[in-house]
Amino acid sequence: MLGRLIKYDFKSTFRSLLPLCAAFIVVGALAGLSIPDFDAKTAPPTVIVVLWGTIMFALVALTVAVSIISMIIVITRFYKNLLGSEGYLSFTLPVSAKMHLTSKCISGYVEFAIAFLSGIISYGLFLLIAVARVGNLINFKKVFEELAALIVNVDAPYAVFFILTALAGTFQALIKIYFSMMLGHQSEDHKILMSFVGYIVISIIEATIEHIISIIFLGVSFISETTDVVSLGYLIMTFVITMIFNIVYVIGTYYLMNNKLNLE
Amino acid sequence: MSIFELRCLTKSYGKKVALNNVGLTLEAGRIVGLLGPNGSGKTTLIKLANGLLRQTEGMIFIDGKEPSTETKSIVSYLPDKDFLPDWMTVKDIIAYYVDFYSDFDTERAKTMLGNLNIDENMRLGKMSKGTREKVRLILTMARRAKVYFLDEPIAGVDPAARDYILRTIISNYEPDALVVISTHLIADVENVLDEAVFLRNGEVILHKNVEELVEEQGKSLDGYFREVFAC
Repeated sequence: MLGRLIKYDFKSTFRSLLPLCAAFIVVGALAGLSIPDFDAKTAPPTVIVVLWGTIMFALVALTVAVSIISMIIVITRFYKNLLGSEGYLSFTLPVSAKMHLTSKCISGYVEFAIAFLSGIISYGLFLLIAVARVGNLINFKKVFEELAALIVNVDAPYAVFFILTALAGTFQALIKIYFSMMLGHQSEDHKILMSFVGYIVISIIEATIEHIISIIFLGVSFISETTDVVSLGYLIMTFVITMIFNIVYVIGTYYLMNNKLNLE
Repeated sequence: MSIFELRCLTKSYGKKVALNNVGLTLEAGRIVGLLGPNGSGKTTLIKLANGLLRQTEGMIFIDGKEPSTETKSIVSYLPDKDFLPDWMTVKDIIAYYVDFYSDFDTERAKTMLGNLNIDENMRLGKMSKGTREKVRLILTMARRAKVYFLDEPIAGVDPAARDYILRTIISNYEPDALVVISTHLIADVENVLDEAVFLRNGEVILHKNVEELVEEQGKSLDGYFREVFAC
């Protein structure tokens, strides 16, 4: 059943997400293809410069659009499919609340990942094509040498916790939204507004707890300018706190979905 | 044999009591009218039975089990809301039902769609309100379920469509299943009902065999309903 739920989540969201990501990648490639050679002996024609400027503007606009719209797609899928009128169908399927939540977490995570990857591919294509066309744009040899040096010098536990924290943080972004929507849905009126209020309140509580814990355990403050915020200890603490919040949000969302569902 | 049972069921929304200490037992193979004016608690009762709301107190049993994944697999529910996803075609929604309900009869659904000349490739979002209502009914009745809950299936449709809907219900439900039809349009449904349950202010005030009731009162069910619920 989980596979089927995920299939329909993807079918619903990919209709908008994939064309947007495809456009992002194409515009990235176009930005690389249209880049004028500013170092050439003769200045590039104005029309080429204007065209490139327009495409670059579109690339930046798409970067913002993909970030925002992927978030909106994930939010609307959860709200419409479970808490809106479609919920009358979803919650009368022979499927448990646990399965619904797992499906939304997996599909939402994959959708965020697709949006992120489309950005990497788009800007990657832009750079590769631009360098191929205008050879003197970037000294690739130097970039690779610096990158290699960075990788050699990087501390393995640090790298592991950096990646883990990034993955846990992405999940936190997702589950916090779901939890806020379930909280807002408990309200008799203004459910959407109350979901926003819930999100803000949760974020404030979250930030306060993180700040207090960081002071207690590491003796540092998030807002201190002298803090070495990239220390391994700080990273581990951030990962642990993020995971604790994730567990709390998952349990809270599941509890509300399973015990306090009020479709009106 | 009892297939649906409510024991001391109460549901409150804040201070407002929607259902108050309701007790009810319904048997398989019957068509039961859940009748009452607007706000009498009909929809709340059906939503509770489908697990869309949680009761404040009391118990609900469907085929001996409390509302759960297991009961959902034997209950076919037609809500009073338009629950169909706009982006799907008729073909998509049939595939969806096949994926999730093992008792869904595709042939039966296709026959009913064919009778109404509904194009399977048409998007649900492009359909008229009336056609969407018919598709919802077809999907609900195409299941070989043990219990059917039909919440206001004929409200908001023209008289010709009402006839079609009632014919569809009568000719497609499983003979050994329980069919609960919630409505306040008594005259249209009274000929198909075996039993009537009257709800007023969240309480069951009558549960009787329709034939016996009509004979006792010397008037139609609709006439009796109007008398009981006269303002």
